[in-house]
Amino acid sequence: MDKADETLERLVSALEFIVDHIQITRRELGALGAGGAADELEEVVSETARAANEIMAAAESVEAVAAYTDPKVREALQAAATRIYEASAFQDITGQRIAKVVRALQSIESRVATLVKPEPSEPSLLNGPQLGRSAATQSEIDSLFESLS
Amino acid sequence: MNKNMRVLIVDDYNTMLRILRNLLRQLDFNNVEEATDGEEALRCLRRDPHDLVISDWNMQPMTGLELLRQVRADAGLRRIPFIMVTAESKTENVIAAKQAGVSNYIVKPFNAETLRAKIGSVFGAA
Repeated sequence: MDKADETLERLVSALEFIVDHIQITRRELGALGAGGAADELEEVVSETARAANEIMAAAESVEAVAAYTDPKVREALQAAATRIYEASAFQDITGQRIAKVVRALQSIESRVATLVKPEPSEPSLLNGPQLGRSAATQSEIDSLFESLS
Repeated sequence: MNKNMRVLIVDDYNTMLRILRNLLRQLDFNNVEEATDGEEALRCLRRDPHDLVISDWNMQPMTGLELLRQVRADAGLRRIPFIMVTAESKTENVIAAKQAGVSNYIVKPFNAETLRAKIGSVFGAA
């Protein structure tokens, strides 16, 4: 076998290896169903939205009743309701994070299906919530905001 | 500050609209309208005069930044105070919003006190 044949053989075996892996990946994605993982995650978003709205509806009822209590009790109940409203923002934040993961999954699924080269991504102003360690705090935003004129 | 001012809140998440509406009510702002994206917000603003816009950034089809730009480019709307409330917290986001003429910037998740303070500062009453 000359050198060219040897190279060709190695190339064919590498290609076979790649094709096998693509088939396995396709099967694994297929097992999730069409857009299965994305659907599951979207379900999480609507479930948390439903729960957050239920929780807030309950807090609104507590506030409505609080209006008939004495001032100290009313104040305490309203402060608790405020904390419930503030905490309900988890749904918006987690929803945005999940939407980001869903887009990534859909992109992986379509690339594996067609095996086209990924398109170069442009720097974007739509990144969603930053991860905890790199997220700016309100006071960092305030200093940046003040520094711009 | 006139607590009866007309406030437009804009967010594509109903949960966030409800949070904003409740927190504003606790601050005695009861004259609150809602829109779920920039285009709807713009239609609301052009239909009726408003005194304050509190908007999310990341919405489709029209983002909060585009809404802000359109508001600032409209002779009839350009002076309305506009507070961005968003999870987008990168330096380039704050710069882009500031360049587009945002009045203040609140990063999500936020608390009631931050909302109160930013509205106060926009209307010159800290």
